[in-house]
Amino acid sequence: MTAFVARRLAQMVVVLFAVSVLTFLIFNVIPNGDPAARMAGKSPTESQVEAIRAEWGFDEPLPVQYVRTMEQVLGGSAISYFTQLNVREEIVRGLPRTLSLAIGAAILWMAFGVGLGLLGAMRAGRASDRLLTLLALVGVSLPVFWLGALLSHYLGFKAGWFPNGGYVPLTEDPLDWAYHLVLPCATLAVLFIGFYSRILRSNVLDTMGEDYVRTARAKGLSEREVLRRHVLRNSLIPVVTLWGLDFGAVVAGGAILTEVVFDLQGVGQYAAESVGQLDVPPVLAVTLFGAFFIVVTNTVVDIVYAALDPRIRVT
Amino acid sequence: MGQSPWRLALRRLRRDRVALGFGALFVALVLAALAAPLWASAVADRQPDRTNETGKIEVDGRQVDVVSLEGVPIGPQWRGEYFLGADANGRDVMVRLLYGARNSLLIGLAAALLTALLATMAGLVAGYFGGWVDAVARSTLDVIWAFPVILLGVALGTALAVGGLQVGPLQLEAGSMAISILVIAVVYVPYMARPIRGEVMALREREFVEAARAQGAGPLRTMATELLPNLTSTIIVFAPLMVANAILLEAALSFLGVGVVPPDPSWGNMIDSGVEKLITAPHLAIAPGAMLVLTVLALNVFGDGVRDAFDPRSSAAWGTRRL
Amino acid sequence: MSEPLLSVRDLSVAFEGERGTLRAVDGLSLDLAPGEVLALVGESGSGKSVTALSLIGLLRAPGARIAGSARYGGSELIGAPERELRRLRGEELAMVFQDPLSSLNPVLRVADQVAEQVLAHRDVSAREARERAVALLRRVGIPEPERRADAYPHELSGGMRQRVMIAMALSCDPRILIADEPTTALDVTVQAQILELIRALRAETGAGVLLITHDFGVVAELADRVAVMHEGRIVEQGVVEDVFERPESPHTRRLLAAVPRLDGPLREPRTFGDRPPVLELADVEVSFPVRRRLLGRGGERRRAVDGVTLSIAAGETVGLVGESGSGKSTLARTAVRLLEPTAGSVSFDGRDITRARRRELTPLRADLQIVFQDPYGSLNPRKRARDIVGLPLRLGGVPRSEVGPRVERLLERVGLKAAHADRWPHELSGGQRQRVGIARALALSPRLVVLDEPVSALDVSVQAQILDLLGELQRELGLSYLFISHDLRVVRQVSDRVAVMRDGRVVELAPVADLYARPQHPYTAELLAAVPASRPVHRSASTRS
Repeated sequence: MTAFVARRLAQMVVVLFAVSVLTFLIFNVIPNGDPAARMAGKSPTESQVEAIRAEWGFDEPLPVQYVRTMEQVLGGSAISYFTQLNVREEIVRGLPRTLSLAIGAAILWMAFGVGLGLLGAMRAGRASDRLLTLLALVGVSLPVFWLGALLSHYLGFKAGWFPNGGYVPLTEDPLDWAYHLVLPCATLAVLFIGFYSRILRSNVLDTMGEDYVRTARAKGLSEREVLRRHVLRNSLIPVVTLWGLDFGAVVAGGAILTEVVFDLQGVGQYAAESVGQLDVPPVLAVTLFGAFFIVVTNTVVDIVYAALDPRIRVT
Repeated sequence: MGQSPWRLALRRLRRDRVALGFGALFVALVLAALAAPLWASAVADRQPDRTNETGKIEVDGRQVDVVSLEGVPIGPQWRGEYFLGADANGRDVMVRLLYGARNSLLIGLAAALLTALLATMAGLVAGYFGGWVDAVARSTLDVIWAFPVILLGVALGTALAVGGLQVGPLQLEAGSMAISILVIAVVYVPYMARPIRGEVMALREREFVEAARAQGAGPLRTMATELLPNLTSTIIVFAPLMVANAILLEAALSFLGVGVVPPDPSWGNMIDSGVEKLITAPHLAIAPGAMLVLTVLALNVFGDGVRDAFDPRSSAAWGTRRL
Repeated sequence: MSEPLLSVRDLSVAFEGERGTLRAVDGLSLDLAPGEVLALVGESGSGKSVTALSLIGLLRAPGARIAGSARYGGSELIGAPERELRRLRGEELAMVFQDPLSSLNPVLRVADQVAEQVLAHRDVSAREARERAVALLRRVGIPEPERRADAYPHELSGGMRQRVMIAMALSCDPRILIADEPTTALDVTVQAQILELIRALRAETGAGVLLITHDFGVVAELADRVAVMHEGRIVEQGVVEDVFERPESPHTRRLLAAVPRLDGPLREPRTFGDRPPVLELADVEVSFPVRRRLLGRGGERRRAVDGVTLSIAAGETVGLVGESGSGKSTLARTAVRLLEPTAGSVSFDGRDITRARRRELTPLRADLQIVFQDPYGSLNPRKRARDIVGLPLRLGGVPRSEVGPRVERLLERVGLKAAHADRWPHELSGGQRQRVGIARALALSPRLVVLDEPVSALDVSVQAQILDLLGELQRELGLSYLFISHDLRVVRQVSDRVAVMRDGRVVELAPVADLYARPQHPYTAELLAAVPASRPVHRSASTRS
């Protein structure tokens, strides 16, 4: 176990290093990407650009720039090229918003995905199963930004049932916080509900064909017991691990579109806005944060998987 | 003459009416996109980029502004000209939708093809050779995997859209569709390469692969004639879902302003500009969104049928993360 | 005979499929008395497992139709409501399945799996159920049951797992035990222990046992009466001695004749002393890394083959026997250089090929061939027989135009028809597939063929045909064989010399007549003692009436 964590930590450092170098390169080797020229505003003089270049150190060799930028990003002193705001503070401000959205959505999609998937498997082949399948497929086919915009417009703006975007901190007013999150969480959850229900349905049907389920029936267990102790338990293991991976991906940027559509001002929206301006420090910081989160959740998921399935050993 | 495993799968697919119906719907959408110039010149008599901010058309015998003085465009007319209404610049939404379909479908299909190609090669090589080759391939995939999908897409899209890309003699213009295709293809490679690698590793242990080696077959022949034919059902099962994912990601990137660059239409950038006018002209966002949903749904239902027919026990394709 | 416990009359099971109706069981009638072991024996597809599952209402295939009657203690089982069947299952009618690994839930501890059956039928607390589970584990001979109770199935050996299955079946003192191939997945020494356990439990509990098996050896060891099944029907039924000594149906006679036996005829003794060896293995050692260290190489390695020396002369058959995990398959792969030995040397025809690279081995591939165990796994499901057999020809540089005719000649040589060339593997039977595998090995006229369990996956009648074919090919083509099997009876029938392998080492190597008559190593003797009898065993404590 200790060896496993140590090896994973080493891998994590390597992956994060590669991610940071790649991100840095993407924004620095491209032509016309000169940040000094863009920071100087419209039709600047050559000397103005030179001055900015020298001030920010854009004239130094790339490795030097990389090391300096990384020092600032990791040390929390990096500031945006354009807004001049501290990057770490911006991320800390956005994090509760992104986490609220991701946690709410994850609970919704797990509950509904498992419920509907189980229902479909129980009624496999019947009309209700086919209807559920079609609904699930519609769910995974809805682009989140379009669905979000329509829901926010028709249920929020027009009908007035829900607030028209925005975020209220939990500490300020828990009820209002939840009220503001209903639509965004539901929007983000829809497609996951669709494909979790599909996965669970097919897992349950596969598990039903296993020899040990036949054994359970041969023991004289009731169909309910067979389902609960043998079928559902075993079918849920891969879904739980997937849940962890998906949650990590959502926090790490998967919620960008939802945040933008509902104007939640989370980490994802911050990243999307910075990336449009080729603003390297925030993009680097957010990408690293996201990659870090994904790598960490992957490791946690592997450990949880080994705990749930005694056949798996972490190595 | 024997019954090939393919024919058995195809026979199962042929009996799945729902899947075939949605497959046909997708084909119809592709044909409609191909016929866009025909609609533009013969039915609507409008080109996709032709603005008409001050024009008038006849509605119920009266002359009506295409774009009102307050800037509100006319809604769907359900006839040749302005079938789905006009946008804020007086352009024909139906015509732009069809031309947008060409961009969205081309990018989606090409990206999915490229993903499948790269993922199959990576999965085959990594799974077959194992050892350090596998380690290198796997960590490359891990790095791509660790990048948040949309963020990576947006970052690459923005960077390349400004500068273009030069790889050897290959010069990609800034704003070229090839950039979107490349970005989308790369982003999805790990999602498909991982299951393929796993499958290759399982196949490699099968006795028929050992038998081929015992006959003296080298790695290339073993991969091409023993492994690849056994991967095709996985690839076929993935294909429609990968196309659907690619189309969705393209729309998302265009929505965020880094995909297809206006005035060139794509469903994503049409939704982007339509969302701002939901209050006065809801058809501007609803029409391209509905097209997008219909296309992706057709692919997903068809893909579900393909999965049932070719590889009923696999749910691996559902592990590809969506947007 | 006392009042039967179970009385089956005219049982029929049919599957409605795309290509019409398949009658899996067709008018089957039998009686099972208390304390009796009735063996239902037949080859694969004869309908014996379907019979067992339909009796306790566990046949859940779509489109299955069950007709007829099965009476147990005054109630009718066929068509009984699920609630009634559920009460009987586990409580009065218990089942033991073939593969204990897949039949146990991999994520539940074994004691919990035993206890849940007690909880389902008895009004006891969870603690009492667990205590009973531990007691049951002790009763079926699991050492340290308190500790093993918390193990997961994959942490136990195959024999232990089957004991857990049996403990589970016994947990509510059933009156009928249905055992579906209970020892098929087990090694021969473990099989002997499990058969002994079932025998003891039968005497102790007085339950009736319906034993389903394909193996006449198991029948001879355990059964009082036997019913022989063929294509869904019982072709012969009677007291076990009568069926073995005086079989009436031609099908039973054919089956019994095909069963390899320890007292059957041996090969003519031949000497190969003067001929140079074709294959020579000297101190061969093959090891695999068990666990990788954090950085770099090293770490533990497991020796699958541990210093084996063996040579095979031209025209000779060397048999290699061993239980699972003894390293015999690894040795087979090393002999044909699919694996590279960690130490020692491999020579073919006097040439050292221990470290030969793929290109250096290519010309040798024609002479040095291998046939695998699993006729399903060893043929690529996506290639026709023509392309499977044609691969070595094409690799061997045979002109394209000649490949087709030669493939057809090869298929005819192994007893298939030229028309089989266009079949896909899934369209061939198990025996036909193994013939295709042999044709592929023969394609370039080899001198040595390594046969890795070539008949283990086949029914006895097919097994006999393939063994005949192999013998015929050897006489005609002067082939040498390294014949690997877990079945001592088969090896005895085909070999000139026999090597016994255990834990990666050859513990004994001797001419076949000497090894079977006077085993020198205790392990050889143990293996021989575990081989099921070929005639019914006399049991003094039999409850037969």
